[in-house]
Amino acid sequence: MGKRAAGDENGRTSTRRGILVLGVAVLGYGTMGRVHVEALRQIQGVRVVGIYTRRPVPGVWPAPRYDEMKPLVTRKDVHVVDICLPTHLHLEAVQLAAECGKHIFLEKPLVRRPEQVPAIRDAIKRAGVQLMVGHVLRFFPEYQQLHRIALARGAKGVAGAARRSSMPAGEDDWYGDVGKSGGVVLDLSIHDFDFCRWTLGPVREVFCRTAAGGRYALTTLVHDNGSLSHIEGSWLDAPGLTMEFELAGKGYLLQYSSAAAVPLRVWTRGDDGAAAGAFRLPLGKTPYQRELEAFFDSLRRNEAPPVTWEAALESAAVAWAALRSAESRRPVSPKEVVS
Amino acid sequence: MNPVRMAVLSGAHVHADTYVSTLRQLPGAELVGIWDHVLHRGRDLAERHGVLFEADLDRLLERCDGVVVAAENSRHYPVVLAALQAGKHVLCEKPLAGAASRARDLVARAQRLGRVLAVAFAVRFSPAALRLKTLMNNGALGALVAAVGANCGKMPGGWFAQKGFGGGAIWDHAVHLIDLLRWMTGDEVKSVFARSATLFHPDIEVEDAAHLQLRFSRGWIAGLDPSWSRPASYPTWGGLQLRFVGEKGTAEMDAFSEFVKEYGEQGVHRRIYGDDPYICMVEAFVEAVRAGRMPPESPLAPAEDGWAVERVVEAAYRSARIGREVAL
Repeated sequence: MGKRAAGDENGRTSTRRGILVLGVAVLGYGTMGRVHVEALRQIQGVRVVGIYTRRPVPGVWPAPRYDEMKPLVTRKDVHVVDICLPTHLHLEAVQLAAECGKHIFLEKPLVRRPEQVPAIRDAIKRAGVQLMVGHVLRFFPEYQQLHRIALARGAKGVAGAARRSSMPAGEDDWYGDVGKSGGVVLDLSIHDFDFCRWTLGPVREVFCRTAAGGRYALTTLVHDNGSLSHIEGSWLDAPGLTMEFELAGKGYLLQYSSAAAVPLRVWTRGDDGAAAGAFRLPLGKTPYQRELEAFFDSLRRNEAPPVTWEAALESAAVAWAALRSAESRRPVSPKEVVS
Repeated sequence: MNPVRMAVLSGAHVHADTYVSTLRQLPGAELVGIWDHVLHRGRDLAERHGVLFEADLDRLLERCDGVVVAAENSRHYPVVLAALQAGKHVLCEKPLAGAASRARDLVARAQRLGRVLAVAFAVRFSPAALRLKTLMNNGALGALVAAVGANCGKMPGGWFAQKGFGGGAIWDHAVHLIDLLRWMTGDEVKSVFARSATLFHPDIEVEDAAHLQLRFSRGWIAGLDPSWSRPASYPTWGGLQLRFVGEKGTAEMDAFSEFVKEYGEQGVHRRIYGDDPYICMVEAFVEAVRAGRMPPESPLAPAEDGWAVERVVEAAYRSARIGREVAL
């Protein structure tokens, strides 16, 4: 065996300052891949070893590009694989990473279909690796505040959540292909399914109607404790993301709207007088950086990730139940879709 | 690394609780005690947080490296002076001294003694303000035309609204806006026009309504509303908005816009989330105490800026009195 840098039994290498540097392989460099790479670059003790994408993007690359997954994932200095691929490619990538003994951060949703769950479970259990799914809403300070207050006041009542944007752009329009993405239900509303489930408890029944080829959805959840959640998901809205949440509990009402919470708004005009940009600036540490940091911290402490894979499975089951409900036009229990 | 030993002097200001709880939790700091010339107020504050109360100011000063002064505006000067003369670094609530001549004196003394003297212009530490300053430094809006600012709140009552102690809405609120304008643009106020009145609370001795118009050296203008104009039912203490208008665009900040609304049996409240600028400011001050000097490139406001703001405030009061624009 050749001479290797000092590392512990997990293959982590240490720096001169004694901090364990975690090497990360990013798979996929579309919308989310870029967000993740930007977040990873802000985190101390983490290095982006390489980026896998089939489509080279012009410009300066923050890390070496790989046009095949395996040569990157098998590198010895890769400890964590961050999967930002389209949903229908999740299973294959998770299996590869697990086989190579790497811990996995996986963009939501877990996988496209409930039939793929046993394969995921086998892969990570056999390899003994950690898997965290990016339910990033749990790392937004505003949603953490809502969650905290709801639990303090008694988390039971009627929740209303909405998440709206324009149609996201993906390679070969995979977002628009329900067979690949699961449409707005599995890609967008799943954020609110997870948040409502995290806050109000397990879901026993789901009723969902979709429209416009899966680009719009209204979903009703019944929780085990009797709470109701109603969720609007839309890819038919204006550009940018609008998030709304309301929880009416006994003796209290919580409300939040991203449209009102704008700490800084900037509008500039080009030399020709036309609008050059109007935007809401992101401030401080992004929730993506927070969720990734939380995952790395859990790995360093040898603990379960802050969002366990079982939790992600329960939230995915709500979304799969919603899809089945939309097809069958009847209420569906998440237990029916995942056994 | 030894913790920096800190003390909080006086519980008069509404932010005293924030200072105490922040210093108690900050890893690099040790809160050694609280002093207040009003004994019961200081004891209550100390008891609320499980901190030692010390009735003798000199004895507390002997045991600390730095102090946060949260006294009544009118008592800033003697308390800051005592701390500086005991060789301590000081973070003082705004306004620094409540009179430009006394502010200048404190600036000179801190310089002579080689001690940090900072003013609690905490809004500088809000993420929106930091980003807006970067935008302004990069000239993103082109040549500056104007700024419109509002720091309106509820009438705070108590000593804030007593003539000899607080000084009214201009002393209380305009100072933040004037400081942000100077800090973000690096420009100086050239003249002030102000009007003030007592419109909402006829029983108080000071103004609760005002409007200031400033003209800056580079030719741009600004209008500021510091009024205590929010009714008692308003869901929070108040707010701070600031808009810059340039030849090439506009930028608008709302420093306290990140909140969740909670309607309870007792009305509606705003539950703020995100970074608390006061906590960030105290952290920066503790680091300054450790280093023994003002940190470079930090939003922590040096006493010179507090003094400059007081000159503008005094000009505003003079303008309101004589009814004309006052040059600085």
